[in-house]
Amino acid sequence: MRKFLFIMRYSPWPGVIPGECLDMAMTVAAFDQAVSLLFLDDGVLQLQTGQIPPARYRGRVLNPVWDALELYDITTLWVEQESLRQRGLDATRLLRPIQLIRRPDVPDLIAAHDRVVSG
Amino acid sequence: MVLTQWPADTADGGWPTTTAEGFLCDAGFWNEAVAIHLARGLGLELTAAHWEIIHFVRGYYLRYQHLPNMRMFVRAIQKELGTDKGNASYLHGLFPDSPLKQACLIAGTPKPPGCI
Repeated sequence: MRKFLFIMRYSPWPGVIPGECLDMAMTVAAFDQAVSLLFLDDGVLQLQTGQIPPARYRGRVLNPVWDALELYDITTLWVEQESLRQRGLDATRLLRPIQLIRRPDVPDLIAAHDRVVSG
Repeated sequence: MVLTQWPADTADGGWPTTTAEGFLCDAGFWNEAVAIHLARGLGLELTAAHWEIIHFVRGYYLRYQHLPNMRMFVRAIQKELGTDKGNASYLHGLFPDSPLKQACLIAGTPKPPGCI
């Protein structure tokens, strides 16, 4: 079993990258690999509660999909705390319980995984 | 379950409209009678074992607003219904052409990504 880290770096819409990255993470996990997620930069916005996309938005809304992570045994989620602070987000009010990591500790987290996918 | 009132513009004397491949255009216009109709279009008579998978996939879609690929589908069924059912040979036995595609079609969801 390899340890995969998926780094979520983009805001939840309008791009397709977060949804594709999440699908990839769930697929890899369904192949019995250990999968963790790290939310960094604008990726922390994916964890914001009360997201309402504009009416004209026709893409995927990811909020309900987070509940599916446990089906695929993806239980280790990290969020980088400076990214949260820069965007005025409160770590206690995110969509899911999540472990905080300081920016200087991110390289060690990355180094502790066998495969890293950034999306 | 009772048939709901279909909108007036549905095809086939009241059946909901489908895409060229047979998937419902609107996942909301679904009930068990529609599922039986869709399954007959695929040449399948639904048994209790089929219904279990169909209700699972519809519930998954409505809850997570997500469509799995085949690998995820098998894993999710393993988790929810056990390994006797969460395996490709059991699912192929029920839905011979393509388990994920046929189960989704009958369950009234959109076509899953990665299905041809």
